[in-house]
Amino acid sequence: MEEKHLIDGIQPSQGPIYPEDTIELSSALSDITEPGKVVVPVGGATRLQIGAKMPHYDYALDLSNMNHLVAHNSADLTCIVQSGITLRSLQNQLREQEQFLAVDAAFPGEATIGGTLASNAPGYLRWQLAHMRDMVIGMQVVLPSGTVTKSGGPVVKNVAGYDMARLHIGGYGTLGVISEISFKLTPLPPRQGSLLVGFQSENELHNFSEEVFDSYVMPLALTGMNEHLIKTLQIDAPRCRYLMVIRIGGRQMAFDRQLNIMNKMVEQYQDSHTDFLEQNASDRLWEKIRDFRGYGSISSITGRVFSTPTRLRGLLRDMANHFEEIGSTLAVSIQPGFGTMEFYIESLLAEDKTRPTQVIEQIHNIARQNQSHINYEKLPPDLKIGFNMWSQINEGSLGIMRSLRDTYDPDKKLNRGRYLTDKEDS
Amino acid sequence: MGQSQSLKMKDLIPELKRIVGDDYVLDDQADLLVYEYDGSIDRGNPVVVVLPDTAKEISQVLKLARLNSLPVVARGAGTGLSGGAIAEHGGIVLSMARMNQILEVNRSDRYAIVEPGVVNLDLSTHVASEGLYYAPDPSSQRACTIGGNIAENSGGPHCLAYGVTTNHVLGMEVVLADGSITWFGDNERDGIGYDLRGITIGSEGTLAIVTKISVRLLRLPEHVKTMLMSFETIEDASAAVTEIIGAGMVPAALEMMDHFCIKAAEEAVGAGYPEGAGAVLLVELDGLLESVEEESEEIEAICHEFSPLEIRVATDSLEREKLWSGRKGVLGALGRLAPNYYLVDGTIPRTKLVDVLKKINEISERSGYPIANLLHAGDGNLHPSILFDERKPGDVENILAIGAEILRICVDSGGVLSGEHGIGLEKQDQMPLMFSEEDMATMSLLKLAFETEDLLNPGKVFPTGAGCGDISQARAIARVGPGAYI
Repeated sequence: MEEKHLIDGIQPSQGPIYPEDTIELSSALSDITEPGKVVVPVGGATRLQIGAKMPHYDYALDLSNMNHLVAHNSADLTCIVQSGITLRSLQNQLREQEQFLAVDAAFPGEATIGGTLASNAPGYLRWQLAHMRDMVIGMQVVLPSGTVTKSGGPVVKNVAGYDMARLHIGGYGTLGVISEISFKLTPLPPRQGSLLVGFQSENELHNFSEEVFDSYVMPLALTGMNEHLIKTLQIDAPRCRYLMVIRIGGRQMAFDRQLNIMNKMVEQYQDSHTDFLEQNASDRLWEKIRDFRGYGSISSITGRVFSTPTRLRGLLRDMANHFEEIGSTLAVSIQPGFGTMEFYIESLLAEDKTRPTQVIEQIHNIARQNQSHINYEKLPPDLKIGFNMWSQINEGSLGIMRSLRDTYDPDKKLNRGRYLTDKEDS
Repeated sequence: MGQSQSLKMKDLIPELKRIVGDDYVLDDQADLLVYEYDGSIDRGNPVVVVLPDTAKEISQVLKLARLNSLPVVARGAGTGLSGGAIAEHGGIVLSMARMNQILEVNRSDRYAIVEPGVVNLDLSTHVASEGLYYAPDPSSQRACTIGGNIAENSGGPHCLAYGVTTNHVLGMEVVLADGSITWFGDNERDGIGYDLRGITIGSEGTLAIVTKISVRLLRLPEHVKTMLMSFETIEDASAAVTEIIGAGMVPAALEMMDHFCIKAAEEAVGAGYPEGAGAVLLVELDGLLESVEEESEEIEAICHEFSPLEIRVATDSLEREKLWSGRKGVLGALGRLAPNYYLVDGTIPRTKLVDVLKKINEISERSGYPIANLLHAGDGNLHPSILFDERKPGDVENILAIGAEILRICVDSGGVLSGEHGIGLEKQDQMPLMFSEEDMATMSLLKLAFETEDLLNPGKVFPTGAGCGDISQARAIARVGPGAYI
């Protein structure tokens, strides 16, 4: 067993399986016929901590050997990949033709494309370039029975049949195992860089981001963060309590124009502080931001809130107030263009064992009050018991989700108990 | 449609009138004729047409239909061109014409909530004063509805840069087959759980009836530049398209029309297209002024490699609108060239444009039927339109065979059966060209997960005979594994 196959301290009862291609993947799944056996598809294992704690599991279905770029049709701006290819390997190969896949999940050296899609991994390249599900134009999936199916195709526009790939992006491998994906690609911007703007107040941060949102500037990525995160990431941003990092790209003249527009906007913020990073330094900063997925200790918590751009203002304020009241620190980043927020708690473990649970409940209340939803990227294993991330979903949708799960994985072979609670997934 | 269905329906009409009101239930044969057709070849008469005003009314209608095992087909403007909105099995047509309100526009968060009967262009017109627009713009945008766009995952000329309908819908209120009302997604750009919103878009009304839609709005660009490039041959124009995309440029729109389309558009609207040209490209760039100017210079340089007859740039919004009026009106204008046209909708890799158009031309010459080529060339979406006269014996059979041959060429070239009009009735028997039996069985299972009675738009998408009756076979595949079905 590899270390990466240990999930919340649970190791598989059987040896791992390493399929080399779709045929072997299909055989592996169809060969597992004993009732009650649980299979967990594994990519780079960078996001296996998400989900409820399983009672047990039997097989790690490790896709890391399915790691080929099957086709790169650069003149069509499309490619086909096996799901076990890492983001870095893919981007390096695409870069040779001055193209890239607009997906920037953390730890690209380990994270696989399949795992990134299945776990709906967060990324920052979404302001201008949209969600990663919008880059998927076709998908091959192996069902729990071993049946190989496909939908879509290697063309950029397609409405033939149901868009089955949608079910597997963010499906956490509960309906099938992604084996191959067709993507549409983006030309690399000839010029890139980042503007850093430091502020003294939360309000200024929000006001500035709303101004950018309302302008003709089209950043590749934009994120704001509070001083705890600035310190944690060791970003050189003196004299500011809040920081906005804006990544822009394009042809030279358009690039300069966007920079000018933002520099002009900044002038009205008296205590603001700006810095500009050229491409290499900018890339290094974004790698740092992207790869911070939370504190390392077992008791740390990383959460992701789905909201709308304007609701982020209330969310950030309420969360900050709550953590000030309980005397804990909270590191936060927001993505105003996309309406998401991530929060990082170093530790909540205290003598009073009920306290972490109460804090989690209070965070949920704050999210509810701000009409938002939370997903935990990392929770201490003890706090995971009884945790049901689907509980925020309305009953109507949940009914269809249960029906889909029953239909495609009637024996609950894939990821049993990890993404639906025992009650729903038994 | 059986006689028993008609008799059953007679008993239900008072109940339907109680639900939606006397004026909103149509069962007169003359009224029903309006709903038999969607511009494609197929026809089918519903037994009754119901025009609901709320999700609650739809819920009640669906409960009644379910109790009586009657099929229900939702219908927007009927512009889909693939037979998706035709009531092939009779039953109830739910016309969304009355549910046409824009319920909310949130400028700060850039979304709008609309009812499904809102006409596509009306939404962009409504939000233009806020500096916003709704990006998907099918050619029929003056008539087609947002609900219909969701059913077909519609595209349009500007989808090259901005994506199709699925890329612009945040959430939707739906009525499920059992009459329950729920939301898939909401106003957030990401969420938790299976993407039920995404899977419903493009499902041709077979999974749920959409009653409210939250759509993403975009900021109107600072600058727009529209250019018309004319070429001696369609091969030159195609090669220019391949070169533009290959150079890493993705204009807002990149459309192509051949000499038939040019002639028809000129006669109909006088768009100012050069009549002697073999093909024209309509290229639109938008964004920051600097970006548009840099890219347009590069595109012009590329086009010069293919000896253009003319490159014209619209100098103001009036000229721009005139150039687009030809493109958007060309389908209607084809009626000037022949009594009927049959529009084929397939997508191919953009690098295959020259080869595929050459083959389509050969088919036209061999068969004697003129084929007008209208393309969303930038994304490889072809609309060869076969000109014919349905009154001539054999014409309909012949053009259907030609359409099937063109689609086979698309699939053989690495393409797909539909880019934006869906499968509907028209292409259901061609699905095996693209999908294996396992692929289609897996899709059928999706329908089963949403509803077991197969009452929502039955008999669409899948090949004839692969409907409800084959679902048990589909389930067997999922449970037993590959080989079980064959």
